[in-house]
Amino acid sequence: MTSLIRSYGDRSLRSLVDLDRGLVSREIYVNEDIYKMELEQVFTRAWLFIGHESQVPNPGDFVVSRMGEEEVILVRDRKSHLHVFLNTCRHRGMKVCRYDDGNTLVFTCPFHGWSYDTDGRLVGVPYYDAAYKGDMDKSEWGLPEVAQMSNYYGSIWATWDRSAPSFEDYLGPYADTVRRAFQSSDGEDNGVELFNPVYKWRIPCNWKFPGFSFDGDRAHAAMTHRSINVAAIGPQGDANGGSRAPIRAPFPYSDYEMTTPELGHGGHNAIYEQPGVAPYKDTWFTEPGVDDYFRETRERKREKYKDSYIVGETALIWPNVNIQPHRILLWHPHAPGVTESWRAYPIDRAAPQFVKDAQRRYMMRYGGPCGLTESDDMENWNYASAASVGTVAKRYPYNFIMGAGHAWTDDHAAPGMTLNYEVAEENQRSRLRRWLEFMEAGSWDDIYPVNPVSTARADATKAKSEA
Amino acid sequence: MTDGEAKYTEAVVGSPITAAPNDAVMITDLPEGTQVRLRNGNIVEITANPRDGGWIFVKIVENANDPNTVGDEDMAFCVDVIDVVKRA
Repeated sequence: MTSLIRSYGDRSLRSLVDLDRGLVSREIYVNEDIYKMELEQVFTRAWLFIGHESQVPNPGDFVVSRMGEEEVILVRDRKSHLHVFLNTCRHRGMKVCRYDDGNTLVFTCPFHGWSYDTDGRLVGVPYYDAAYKGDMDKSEWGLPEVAQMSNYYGSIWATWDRSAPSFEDYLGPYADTVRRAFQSSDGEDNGVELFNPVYKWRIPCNWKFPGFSFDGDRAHAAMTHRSINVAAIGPQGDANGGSRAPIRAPFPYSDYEMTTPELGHGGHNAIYEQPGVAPYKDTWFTEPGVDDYFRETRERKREKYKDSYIVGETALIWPNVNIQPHRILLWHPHAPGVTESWRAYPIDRAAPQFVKDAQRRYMMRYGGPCGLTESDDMENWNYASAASVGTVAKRYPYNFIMGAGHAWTDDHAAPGMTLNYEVAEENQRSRLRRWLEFMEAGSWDDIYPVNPVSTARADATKAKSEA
Repeated sequence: MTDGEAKYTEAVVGSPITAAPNDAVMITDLPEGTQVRLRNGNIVEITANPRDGGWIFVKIVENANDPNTVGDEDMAFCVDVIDVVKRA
């Protein structure tokens, strides 16, 4: 498979992704062989978001998640240890768990009855003594468990690859972004819980359409979201307060596209001109008491971070999860032209219920399958996918030229990052570059820590010095 | 041969498409503390019930063949539970 794709027709993968010229073949978004190769080269290697420990607070609690196309079970065993298992019986492959979440003593396969403890051990085999006659060692037939799992400030991540770097190394300069995403609004680590259940729905486009454009495609907003920006999408509840900007209550700042080309992460991030956290600005005009809560927690956060410069508030954590304040966006590959989209919404664990309810209602109105902004996005991704599969259409590459060659680095204000103008396609090029590296790599040794292919930061530094 | 074994034989003969006996007790809703008889003659007490209809966690109460196992913990499969001898 790999050798076939590396020479797809008379073209190599590298010829399909020409980042020097900003040209990317539509083939990588629609080709089934390339998609299958992604499942192996990307989704069995990369660190992937699984869930949050708040989803499984008690022994026996479980929630079903995904890694690539495959279902996994996040479960807390009887000793309160967390595990991530592939959801498949070792006997004939049946799913051992067919619920989205719950609490159990064991996962019993409904096919022949093999039963697994919450720590993954095979503990029950029907007719074991009489039929197997001691020929099978149950200890060798437990549920397949991920090679590495990380509980990062309450968020659970995993990879199938033992040779992958540690999760914190994998994040690089975006480690703080992930850490802050799971802080409560007063700045306390691991201070949130996720709304249950997680939103899940399928959209007819390749996973890279949303995954590689979210937090990397600011140019779309003015056109795509024009109607909803006019109609008021902020939590204020009236047209006059429709802008989303007030909830961000920014200090003086400059916005950039930022990315770590060596790692593929990146987002739309601000560099603030002063340390600390901006004062709270009332915004929940139709939800009594909510502003009071967030005003109070903001003051505590301001005190905690009064001397800190905060960089990197949103990001795609490569390959398929966007970390943003108040929401986690997951883009699971489901088929070459189908993405299973998941939304998880963190909310302060200690918040009063009416605050949690207000935020849940707002996030449902803002995003998700029936949210107003993402309906706009989905329409574009879906029709772009449909218009890219044709024989003639595939002759015309996508244009990723915006801002190419104009990036720079600033190791004082944003160490480890490459910056570009706030409306650019730097992040998308970074993700595509990392995608190419994963697709061509034989192992993690080829893609971490030194990246022989990624020349973006070197180019950017050179461009800055020449300027 | 116990009564349970006799029933098992009849069930297999009468149901050629399945090896599962039909004399077994439905275990799904049996609460902890219930004592049941297993096909091997042992009497066990349910210590936990996953309510999956397949398995129960048990503690051995009586084992005529090996009294030393009394108190041991084990799992019992649904088709091996043939009678309720004491309700919780």
